[in-house]
Amino acid sequence: MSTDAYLWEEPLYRLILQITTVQVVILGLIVVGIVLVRAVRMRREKKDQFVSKALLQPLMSYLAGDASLDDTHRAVRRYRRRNICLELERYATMLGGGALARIRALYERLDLRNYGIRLCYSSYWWRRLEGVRILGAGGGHDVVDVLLESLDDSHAIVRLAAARSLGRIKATKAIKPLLEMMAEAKQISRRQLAQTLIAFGPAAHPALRRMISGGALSDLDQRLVATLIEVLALTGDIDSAPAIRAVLDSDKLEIRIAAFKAVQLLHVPLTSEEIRQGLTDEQWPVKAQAALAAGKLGDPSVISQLGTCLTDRSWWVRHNAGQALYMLGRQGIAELERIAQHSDDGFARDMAFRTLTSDATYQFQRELNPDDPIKPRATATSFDQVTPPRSEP
Amino acid sequence: MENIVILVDWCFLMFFFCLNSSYSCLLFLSLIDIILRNRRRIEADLDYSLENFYTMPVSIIAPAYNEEATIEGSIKSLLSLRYPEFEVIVVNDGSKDDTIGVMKKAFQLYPIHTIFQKQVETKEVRGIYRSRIEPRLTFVDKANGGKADALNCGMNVAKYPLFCAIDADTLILPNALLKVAIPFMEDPEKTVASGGTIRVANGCAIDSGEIKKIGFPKNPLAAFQVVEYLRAFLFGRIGWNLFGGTLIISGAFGLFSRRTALEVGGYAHDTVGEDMELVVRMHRYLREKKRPYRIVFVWDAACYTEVPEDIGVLERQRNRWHRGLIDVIFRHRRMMLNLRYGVIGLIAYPFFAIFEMLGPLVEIVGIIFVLMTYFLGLADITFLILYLNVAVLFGIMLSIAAVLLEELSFYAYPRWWDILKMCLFAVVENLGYRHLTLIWRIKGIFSYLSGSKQWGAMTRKGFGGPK
Repeated sequence: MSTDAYLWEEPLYRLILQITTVQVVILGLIVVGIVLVRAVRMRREKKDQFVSKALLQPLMSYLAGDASLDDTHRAVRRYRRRNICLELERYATMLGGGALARIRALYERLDLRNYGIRLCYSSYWWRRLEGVRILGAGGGHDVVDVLLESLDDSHAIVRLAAARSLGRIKATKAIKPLLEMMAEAKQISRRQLAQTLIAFGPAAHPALRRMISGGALSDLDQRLVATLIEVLALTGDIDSAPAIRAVLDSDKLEIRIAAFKAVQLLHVPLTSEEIRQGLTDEQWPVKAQAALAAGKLGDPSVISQLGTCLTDRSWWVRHNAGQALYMLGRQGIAELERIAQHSDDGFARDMAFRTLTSDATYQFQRELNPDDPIKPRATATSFDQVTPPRSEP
Repeated sequence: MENIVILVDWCFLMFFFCLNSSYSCLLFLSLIDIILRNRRRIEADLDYSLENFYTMPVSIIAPAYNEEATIEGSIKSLLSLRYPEFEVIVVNDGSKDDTIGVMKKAFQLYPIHTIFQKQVETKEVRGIYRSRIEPRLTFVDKANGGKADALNCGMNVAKYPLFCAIDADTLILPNALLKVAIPFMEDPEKTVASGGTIRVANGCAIDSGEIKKIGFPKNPLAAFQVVEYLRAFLFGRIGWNLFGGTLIISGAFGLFSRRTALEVGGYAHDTVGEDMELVVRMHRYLREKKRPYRIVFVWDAACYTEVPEDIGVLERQRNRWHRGLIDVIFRHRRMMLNLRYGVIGLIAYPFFAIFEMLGPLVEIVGIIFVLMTYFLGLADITFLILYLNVAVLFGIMLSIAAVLLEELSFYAYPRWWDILKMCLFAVVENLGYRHLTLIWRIKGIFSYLSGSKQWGAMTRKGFGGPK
């Protein structure tokens, strides 16, 4: 390393300079990449905007019933089917009833159904995704088999989109495969599938009831059973009440929670014993749900248990117990007032007071007892007077 | 002697080579992730999550200290987020300005009498307020105790299972909270934290807490930071996230499981890097308990924050960040190269310790040393070119690549001129600005060694009216 002239001739250093050149070339390529990406994006955006604008008027007129199917077909057929599908899908998610039927008619006329089916068999997953979405937005019951096939797609997103499309079409044939899929799905997919089942409404009830009340219950994952109970409750299946009552004392936590939630939604009449059992459960989420159930079912015989729940370690149990007491009317409110003023437990006093003074309950309480508003002793809640901190479960 | 000098020169060169090669690997991984995920970005799925009854409710905690200029806009922005169920808890950390007055006026606050469980110790709470016009808003007024203390206080008051820690001057994009919550919906048992991308709000047109138009900052210091943030978030954090090595979830926008955060004891009061410290402590705790968990970075969940346009403020900020980093690295040094902590202990932690913590010192000393040896005739011009190649050209390449990632991912700056400026700043950043920040970070090392725990005053222009 004595002279620079000598060094330039060293193979290693020549290599280094070549590397520098390569780096400069890479740098140039990155810059070209930036320019290309931007140019392509801008062009696509501009084109999409133009097409979207061009499609807006004829499609809106058609959906409003001002234009005939033939006229609309003539106006939109020159545009790419992908763009038409995108626009129609946007309307399909916003509209319902007659507009949806008109959308389907246009799908038929533009042969979008076959286009969607073709996409469903593409080797690219994003095309298959587009296909199942198109079929969901405009396909009739004749595309159910294709969508059922897509439930076995190698890509999870396509499978879930297919499930959603089946829900949109309300293809009852799909309920059984969906339930099977749910049993094997991960938590997030299961939840999305549950949302799909809700879209089926009462049509899904028999299969769901069979699944939770059948002999196979013990073999099923507790989370799946809990999800199914929630779906039954959210779709208003009152006939599932006996099956739900039967699992109130399940040894699985998730099932007990779901069962008490379902009881509230469906207004399943419970015995005082069943409610008490929930209120004394060793797990706080069950207690919290049981408290709400007690309030919603209006059973005054559990007032003292609800009062006890106001001293619970969990904020949610205390909160729900307070709400439940309020829901029980005059007797419940009297208990809240008693706790707010005389309880030794600062947390119970606070929750009772908060319940009584919340916007909803305050009006009610004043109507019940206009001359005797709640005494501010219950506000003995400056922060230093709080009993020692307890950890929330 | 000459041989030793050359050896040292080569050591510095190799350091740079390893550093930039690691970044290149992260860049490559990020590029793949962004391209793959671009295909999957389907807005309809977000609508689905919005309707989904399983979307977990969130308590957004916004600590505020002397934020009268930005607080109103930020809170309005938070309240307009697309999310099924959330509450906003603003914790006034003993502000000396009129933060409380601005809030009272803007949201018609009234005091409420309530108690809460002090699950984490905090400074005295002076009062809790609710809003007459916005039921989802809670305002907590407390004695000054620092950002960590304010966040802990917010955690005590929060009622939902997830809490989102943000800076009060952060503007979260309407869909960002939903996006950042998706990992919790995907795997509620394992997910303990997720964070989003922070972007620069300077230069954007903002009105009533809403970003009307995204623009490139006119101030050069802010412009440099745009490129810096792109580098840090678009390939640094995406890359780490891909193999579970996320050590930082920015304090400006992170979503956490309240239960796990309380389990590990909340934010540490005695550090200035409380955001990173909490994440590292979570990693450590959960690994020690052998509990399966995941901490995720969601790159397309973005929020905007105002960056310093004043050199003094920026220096203090970088100094503080570096002190925070060193503190965390030392505090949890047990994790270093420890098999028990998996990827974190074996890869992420050593990387942060060597390249992020000691990097500034090695880089600056290296530059001075190589230049000195060249001028003293101990190193030749070829070596200098090679050194500049690895230290500067490689850096420029990475910065420009970050701009490419920006184009592929957010595509936020609409004008060609903005992209051109961004590329220019990406080049110039490596010719002086970067070295300036390295010097500030070295100062941070000395401040840490001298025991400084100061935050340093931060001034904000605010998002008040349209810019």
